[in-house]
Amino acid sequence: MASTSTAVPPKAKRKLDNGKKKPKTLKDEFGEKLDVKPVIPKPADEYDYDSSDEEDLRNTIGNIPIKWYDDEEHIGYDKFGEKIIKPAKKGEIETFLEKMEDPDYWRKVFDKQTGTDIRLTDEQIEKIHNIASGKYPTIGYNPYEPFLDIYSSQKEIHPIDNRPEPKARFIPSKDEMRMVSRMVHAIRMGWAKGPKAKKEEPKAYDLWAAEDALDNVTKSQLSRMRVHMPAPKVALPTHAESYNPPEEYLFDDDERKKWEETEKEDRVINFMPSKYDALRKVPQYDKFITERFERCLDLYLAPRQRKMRIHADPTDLLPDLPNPNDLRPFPTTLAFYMRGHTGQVRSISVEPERGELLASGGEDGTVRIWMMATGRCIKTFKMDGEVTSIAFCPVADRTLLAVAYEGKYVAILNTGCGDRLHVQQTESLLAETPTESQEDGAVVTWRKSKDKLVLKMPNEVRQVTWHAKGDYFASVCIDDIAKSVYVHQMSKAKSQCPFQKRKGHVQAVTFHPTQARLFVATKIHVREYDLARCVLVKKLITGCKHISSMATDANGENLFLGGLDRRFCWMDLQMGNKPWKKLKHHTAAIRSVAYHKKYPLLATVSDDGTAMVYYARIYSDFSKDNELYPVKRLRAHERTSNDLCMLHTTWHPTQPWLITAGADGTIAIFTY
Amino acid sequence: MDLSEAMEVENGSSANQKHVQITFFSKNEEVAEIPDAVFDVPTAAESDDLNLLLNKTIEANDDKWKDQRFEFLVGETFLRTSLAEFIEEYEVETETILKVECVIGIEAPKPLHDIQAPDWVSSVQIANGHIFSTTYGGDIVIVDRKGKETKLAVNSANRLLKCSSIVTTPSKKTQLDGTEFIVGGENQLLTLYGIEKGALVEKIVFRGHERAVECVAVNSDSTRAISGSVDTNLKVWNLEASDEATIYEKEDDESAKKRRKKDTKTKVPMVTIGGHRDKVSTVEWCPWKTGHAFSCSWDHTVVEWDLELAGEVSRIKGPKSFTSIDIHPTSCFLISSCTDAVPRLYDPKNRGEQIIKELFIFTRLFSDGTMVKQSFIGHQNGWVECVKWNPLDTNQFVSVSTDKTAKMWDVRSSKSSLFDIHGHEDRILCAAWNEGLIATGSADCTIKVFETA
Repeated sequence: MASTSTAVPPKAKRKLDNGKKKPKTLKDEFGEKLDVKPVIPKPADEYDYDSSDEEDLRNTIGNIPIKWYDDEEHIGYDKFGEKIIKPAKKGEIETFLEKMEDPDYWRKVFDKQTGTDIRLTDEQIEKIHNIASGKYPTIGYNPYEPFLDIYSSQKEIHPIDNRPEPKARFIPSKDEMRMVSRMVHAIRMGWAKGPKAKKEEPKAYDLWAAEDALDNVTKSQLSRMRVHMPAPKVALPTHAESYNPPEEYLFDDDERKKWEETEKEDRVINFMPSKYDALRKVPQYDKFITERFERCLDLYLAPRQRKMRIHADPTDLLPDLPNPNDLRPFPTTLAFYMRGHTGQVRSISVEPERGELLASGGEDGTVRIWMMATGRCIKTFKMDGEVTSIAFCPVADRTLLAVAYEGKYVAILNTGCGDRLHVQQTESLLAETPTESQEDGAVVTWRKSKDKLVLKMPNEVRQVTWHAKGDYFASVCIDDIAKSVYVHQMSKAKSQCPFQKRKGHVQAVTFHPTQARLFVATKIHVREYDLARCVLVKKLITGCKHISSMATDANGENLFLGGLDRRFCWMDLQMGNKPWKKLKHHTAAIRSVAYHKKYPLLATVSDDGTAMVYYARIYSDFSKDNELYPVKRLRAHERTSNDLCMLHTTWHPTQPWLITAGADGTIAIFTY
Repeated sequence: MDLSEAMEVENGSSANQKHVQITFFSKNEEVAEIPDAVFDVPTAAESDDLNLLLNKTIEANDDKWKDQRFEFLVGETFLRTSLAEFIEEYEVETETILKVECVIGIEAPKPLHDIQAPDWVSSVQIANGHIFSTTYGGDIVIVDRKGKETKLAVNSANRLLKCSSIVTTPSKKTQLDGTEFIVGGENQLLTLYGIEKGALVEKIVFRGHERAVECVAVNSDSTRAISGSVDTNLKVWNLEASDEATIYEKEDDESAKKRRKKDTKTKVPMVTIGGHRDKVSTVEWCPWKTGHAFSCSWDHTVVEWDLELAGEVSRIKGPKSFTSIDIHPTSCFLISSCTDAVPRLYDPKNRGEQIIKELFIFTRLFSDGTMVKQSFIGHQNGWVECVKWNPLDTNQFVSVSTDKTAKMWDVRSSKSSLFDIHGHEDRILCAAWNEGLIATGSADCTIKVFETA
């Protein structure tokens, strides 16, 4: 499109093209103008200017695809806006008949725009013929007409046409005025800023650019540059290779025989020295091709890269472990099995202080009290459901046992074993428990029956654990709910739920052994809460994917975690919230971890049927690192059909003995 | 010698095989006619070959000789392997003539009885031709030598008995009436029973322990008993009938109990001795010094006590928790068992003397490792629950283990036992050896009795 601002009006061209007297331009089927003869403009009256299309068009639809009108009755509009009705379409037969009958059929051309056939004149046909045969269209056509330079580089002083300037030229543009006024305003207000001066950098040729470009060199390129390996060189010819070598280089019979007998690869020189008295007598070298080929092979097979091979003794890579004999005592052998349970033994607990009695709870709904020394079951309590967890009261004066069993119950039993004086004291303690004073509508209901207290819980309980003082105990429920942890106080017969908000599926809880703190293990985190102040003290990131059990040391400074993802973590609580050590020694899920109260011993038991015993010494001294060495893998119990083996473990309180509970209904004791 | 040559041919030995010169001797008078000739024996020879050689040699001299099985002692050790292995192991000098002592081999213990007990057997004693045993069910089973069983149920059936000891036996042999024995159990009491006209009579109850009574021992003149308990204490009791000082009299709140057991006296301990840090597992009276006793405990020690001073005399540190000890009445050696498979032999008497000797030169030796004279390796795994000497032989003892076997040992052969006694189907918990009988009690609720020569 030509804008109004150009010096030459565009219409002038049109006029130059079309201001001729030619009646009409012909088009062939392809819509190309057949008449390409330039017409010399004649001075014409500029007011004759006609901007309409030069063709004698009856159809005014313009240059649009004619197929748009395929579905219509008309094929366009005439200049009065009237529809041009489509001529009746000829049928196949009609066309054929016409072809046969009409002698002028061949000179008819279909015009899409009008929908009719046009009969070409003889003149036009001749033109077509001429073009088709590569001739000029008409006789007398001058292809070398003088070139008319309309838009010359020379500036004309007169306009090409003398049409008066349109009025618009003389009216100032309102848009421009608006823009200018905006700019003026901006300049006045000081908003406008001049164009930024471009910083011209001094242009200089960097001669050492290639050298500095080492930064961009890849690692492999760099290493190749550094350890450059030159191609192997051809050895220089020796005297023996001379065409006229000294006598001593020539082979005598023995040497020749020897040379011939040796393998080709083993020969010292690969040719036989020969003597010619003149250079011209030297024949053509017959091994030339072979030698060239071998040289090529040498180059091709030559090493390109120096590969650093580490010569390491595999034993050096092993960590420096102390001799297990120096780390004694630790359990080494299976002493015996305690048999009696008829299903899985799910939980075991040893009487504190003396360690003479062992309590176990199992799938068969019984709690059994065993004598540690002989493996004799001395008492059996029948519970109303499958026992999930048991725990001896850590106070030796109280012969109490907390039992969680299915049916949403937690019971506090008096075992009736051990010192009879203590049994009597415990009996009276249970009798004094104020179960009557509880409020109505309490979630946990306390009930007294014979020799035990029974707590009716809102959910099934997974685990029970005591505080070291023996008054408080906590229970964890199996389901993934907000109120899963309850802390119970025996002396007041009260239960409370310290956590209202769900922070993850709680797997285990443990009381801090000396302070009023509680460790709560969800699947991946452990949180330490101060129960007295009701605040979160610490959140530990364990790296375990599914924590199954938790144990603390005697001071509550270290936390040992076992996970169903076979991982064992040692968290040193004074060293941040990340684990100090992570180990993966089991081939199946870890079910339980235990730390010995007296010896530096740690054990993890797993579904793979093994118990790992570690020597784990904790130093309270900051300058010394804690020690953790695996010392023994113990095997016991049979695997059950559901791939369970060892379910729980505990240490004897005074001896370095490990006790494990098996899914096959046995309890194993390992001694050293 | 043609015989040794014959033996060589038997063994198919070649000329370059090593030979040792040996000579036999015996301290036994029955085999006094052993020729003191020197034999040239190939080192590949084992004790069976030597047996053959010796028997043929004696037969050549004595027509009436019947073949016997000999055991051969070189120095103080039994020959159990081939001579070559023995020489290598004990570094015996082969330059001089080897003196081999011949001992007539003992016969294997013969199974005598298999007694079915109502429950696990916790302790067994042999006295006066009878086998006394207690069970975890609270029963007392008494069997005579012929296998006639007397089951004596104790009134409180649910109590658990753990230990027993014979106090007095009647002067007439194989008589049961008049026997007195003391039992202790989980109910923290010791009870003195007497058998009168075939019935069990509860005579004295000893009250004082705070936990289950683990062990009890009565001294040779039946005046004192000492007991050990899970509460780590030892208590000495007066068994004399004339004693009145320790009788417990508390009229007011114990009146109901008194009414029930009118003829039962209750006694309190004469002395309570603390010093152990864990469960006391066995107590034994010292055979060579009256008023002294030994006790072993789970705290890895064996302690000799002076009961009159109520103090510790000496202490042997063991490697593990002790399960039992036994002191031979004549040789005074102490055999012990730990919570492992190895019985260990100690010499407490000479150690005491040694310490006294060394006191004079102002040095004391308290290293425990040197104390062990011998370790007996043979039990497979588990614990040795009990060890007992043969009171008639200073060298023989029996050990029973949780691996369901009992083993008879000779002190002079530490690497292998004399005999293994199989048959129990569960852990063996206790044993006794007296009057030529070995009795073992097990968790399979049987008592097996064996007769030894």
